[in-house]
Amino acid sequence: MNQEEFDLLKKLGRVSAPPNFEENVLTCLSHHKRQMKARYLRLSLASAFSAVVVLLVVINIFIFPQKGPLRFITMKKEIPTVVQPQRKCAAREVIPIVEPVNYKNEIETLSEKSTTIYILEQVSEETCSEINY
Amino acid sequence: MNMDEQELVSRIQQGDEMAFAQIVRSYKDKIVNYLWQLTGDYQKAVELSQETFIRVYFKSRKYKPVAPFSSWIYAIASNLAKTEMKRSRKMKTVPLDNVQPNIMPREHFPNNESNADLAQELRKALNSLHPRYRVPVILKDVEGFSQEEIAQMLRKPLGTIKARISRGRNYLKKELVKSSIKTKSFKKRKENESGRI
Repeated sequence: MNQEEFDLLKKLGRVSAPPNFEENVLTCLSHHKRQMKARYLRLSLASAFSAVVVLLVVINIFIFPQKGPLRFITMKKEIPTVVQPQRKCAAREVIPIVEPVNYKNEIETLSEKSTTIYILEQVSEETCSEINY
Repeated sequence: MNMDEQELVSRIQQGDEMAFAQIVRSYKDKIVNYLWQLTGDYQKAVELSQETFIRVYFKSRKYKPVAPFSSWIYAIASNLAKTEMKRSRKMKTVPLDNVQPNIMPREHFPNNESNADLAQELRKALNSLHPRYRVPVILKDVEGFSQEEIAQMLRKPLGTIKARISRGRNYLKKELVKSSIKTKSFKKRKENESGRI
């Protein structure tokens, strides 16, 4: 290709920017800036939140160790060697339930005699006093 | 880079929008034209130009005054255009000949009819040229940058740029010869048909 043809390439035809190009760029710039600000705000909020979480974890572990899992380790050490029968029961999975029962009303329905109140007491040390479910 | 531009860039680095507007004003036509030559689509060229200037603003702190400021802007525009062309090459399914341009730019073709035809053929050939060659050819022959400047802009060795320009020109030459043969044969056929009638 000779030089003349390349001169033609130079004269190929030029276009110019549309008349509102400058305003569009500036509008786009302000939009981008706003977006960046919002992103920065979101990022800083997220980092602040995560910092607070980390701080709480650190405080929980190092500053208040008794409230952490270490407490149970120390509790295990305090368990006596001789295990009492009641404690044996407690060792099993027993859910103690206290039910307020109005015996007076129940007895009234059965007989019209004077009401007797039965108080149930634990008589043996061996058996478990709690109700098992 | 002249003193005014350097001052403007340092003001942009401090976040001065007035300085940025001045840079946009002085480069908008050049960049839009350059991107139009690269992409062949005026609307896309305008969008890419906007993106170029936005990047200029946000990346202005990365600019080092070792190279001219114009080279830096053109480098950003080239990179954006290359990415866009890659994307459009992947998505392209319709031949370019069938596509009608959606917005016609204010292009000034030469007055002569044959020159206008040649320019049209040249445009077709340019659009079919691979971006790897198209970018340096346009930077050299349309925008008038030196080969050293182009090498610096595209971060390629000088030899590579020279080879790409040469190959690009050869490709354009071949395409033009092909199209001129086609046009001649088409004209002959038309003449023959009209002679028969």
